[in-house]
Amino acid sequence: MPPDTKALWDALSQEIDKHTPETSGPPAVEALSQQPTVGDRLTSRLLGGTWFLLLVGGVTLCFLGFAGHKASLVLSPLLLLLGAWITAPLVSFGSGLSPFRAIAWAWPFAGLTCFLVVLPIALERSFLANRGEVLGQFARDLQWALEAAFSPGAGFVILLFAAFLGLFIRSLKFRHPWARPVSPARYRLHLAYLAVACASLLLFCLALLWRAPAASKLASPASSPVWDQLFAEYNLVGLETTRAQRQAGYAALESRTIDALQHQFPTLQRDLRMASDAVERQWGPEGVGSAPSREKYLFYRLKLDLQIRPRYQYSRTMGLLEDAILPRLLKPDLSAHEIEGWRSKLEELKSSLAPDRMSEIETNAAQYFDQSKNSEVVVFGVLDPETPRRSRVELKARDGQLAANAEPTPMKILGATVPLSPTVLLSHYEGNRKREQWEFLRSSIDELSPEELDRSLNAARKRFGSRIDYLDQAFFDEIAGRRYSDTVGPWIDYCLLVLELRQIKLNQGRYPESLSAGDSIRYLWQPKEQRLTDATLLSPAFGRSVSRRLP
Amino acid sequence: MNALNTAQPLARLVVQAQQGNKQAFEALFLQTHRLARKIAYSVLGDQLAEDAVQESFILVYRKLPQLADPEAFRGWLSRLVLHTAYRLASTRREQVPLLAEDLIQQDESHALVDTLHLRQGLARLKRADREILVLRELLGLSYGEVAYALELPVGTVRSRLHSARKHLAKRLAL
Repeated sequence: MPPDTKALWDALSQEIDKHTPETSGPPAVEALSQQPTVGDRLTSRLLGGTWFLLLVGGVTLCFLGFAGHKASLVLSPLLLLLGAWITAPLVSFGSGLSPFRAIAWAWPFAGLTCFLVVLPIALERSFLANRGEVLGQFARDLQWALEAAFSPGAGFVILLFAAFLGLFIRSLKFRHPWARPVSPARYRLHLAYLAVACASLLLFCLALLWRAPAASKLASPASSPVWDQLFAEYNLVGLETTRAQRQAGYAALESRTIDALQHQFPTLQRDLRMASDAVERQWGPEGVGSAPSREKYLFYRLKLDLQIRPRYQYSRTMGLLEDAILPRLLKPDLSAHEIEGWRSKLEELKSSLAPDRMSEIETNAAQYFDQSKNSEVVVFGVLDPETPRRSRVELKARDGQLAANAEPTPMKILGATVPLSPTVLLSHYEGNRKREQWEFLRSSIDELSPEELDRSLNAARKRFGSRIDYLDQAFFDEIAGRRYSDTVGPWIDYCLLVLELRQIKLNQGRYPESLSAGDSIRYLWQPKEQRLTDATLLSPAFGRSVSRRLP
Repeated sequence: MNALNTAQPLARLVVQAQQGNKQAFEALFLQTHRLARKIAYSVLGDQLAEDAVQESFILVYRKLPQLADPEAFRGWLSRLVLHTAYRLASTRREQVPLLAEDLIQQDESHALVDTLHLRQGLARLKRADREILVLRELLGLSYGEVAYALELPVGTVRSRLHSARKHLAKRLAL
């Protein structure tokens, strides 16, 4: 204060003292009570924050409605009371709750209420279900509760209520200026700070722990609407059409399939396979296309199968090699040009297979992690047949809402899309845990022989299946079901061997007496009583004798 | 500047008055009624200041047990007197001068003319600025007491006081 102003203030004070009359004495207070009134008590309580938070929590509860759950009905009010009691010092520090603080704390406490309402339900479920299901359902419940409480309407009502309450408390405070908030004990303030610190740390850890899994390195099978029109037009999936209509549809589909196999492969893999399956169901692989294009069709069909490697269908691919390709390699008039053509095609097929079982298992695992969310693919309006029948039945049998909400989805908060929803975070976490568990399992089977490998995987399947864990049966289905390198692989090798023998016969006029490494053939055959002929080559006994790996 | 008693005996009196001790209340009144009167006077003027002081001390007696910190009595009292004075001012619906001009008319020696400029400057300030200047400069309350009386953080009191002083200086310079 400037000195001249100070002097003025002093002068003013003295003037007031001098010119104001002496007061008449203290008022008579003998009959007055010092008990606080109801208004005083109400103001103090409301300024304290706990009641305000409980009221905001109560309004939030109106938008949730978990009344059907006994645990939530009993425990949620208690947890809400505890939450309000812990949080209140943060809301009412200093001179008590203000309208600004009321508005600022309305939504955070509404969010906390959602959590506290859903928590008892998860606790109740934890006695009945395994950890994965409880966590999954908790994430879905929490997301549902948050979306309900923070829909544009509900969020606005909660905020409006908090603002109204804040203004009401302000008016009470104006009328009761002597009232002070019920001051919390110092340890409560410390407890509140501790709770905020713990919550922040927890959120930080969740952000780190539940990071998104590594980006996909495998291209997911494509699906496109190119074929939808055709399927819709001829209703190949349904049974309502007449036989003539279906046959016309299959004929159109066949020409489209063969054309696409040659020109659009591999961009439409999944659609092509569906189309090819449909056509083959009608006429079989040998009935497809005209004679010149039939061999092309067979090759592309095999290529498609090895590209997609559908689960538990490798025997069908082996059947194509045995029943359709092998007889073509043993045609009496097979020319050197044809031998070379088949050799290059078979080599191309072989190159698309993993070199050994372990490599294939790793590919399968990577495919599972990258595509687990697409495990159920709808093509042409129906479920992809690759989805195990059991899963499809289970999905239908389960509660509709549960199945509909099973996939992680972004959250709708106040009309905006929040990508990191509880279900998405949980799926990230589970994805990472699965990868970690797979890494651990892989390190233990890395050096095993194929037989030991299968035994170990079967043991692990039982172990993980019986235990509550993240690697589920679907993972082991993926590992065991996509088994092409040691099933189809030997058949391709065998076809290549047959081509080698046909080449020798073409050059020397007859098959060799015996096979050895010196003949640049990878198999050893020591004939005892049997001479090598075209018929011998077709016999399964010969195949198994030259390759113990052949099934 | 004012010459009120020190806080320690005041706090002891407050505690005794909180327990219903009438003599302690009377002593409390004697120690602080000038402070209350200056606050009331700054809002209401001479005519109503006494009424405001009486009503304020009735409130003080009734609500004193609700005062958690006896050390903060002066700030708490200031808040109550301000509340009562504004309530009286609103019920009487009268134009309330900050410091009544009638003082000047009564002042035959024209001693008040020296401070007229300050009073006029105060009268032209916003209510918030005027309150904070009166509590701090005229009554000499500490920052803590001003903060308690106006229910503001001490930091806010400092910044608002700084700003109020600047506003007053502008008015005085005009």
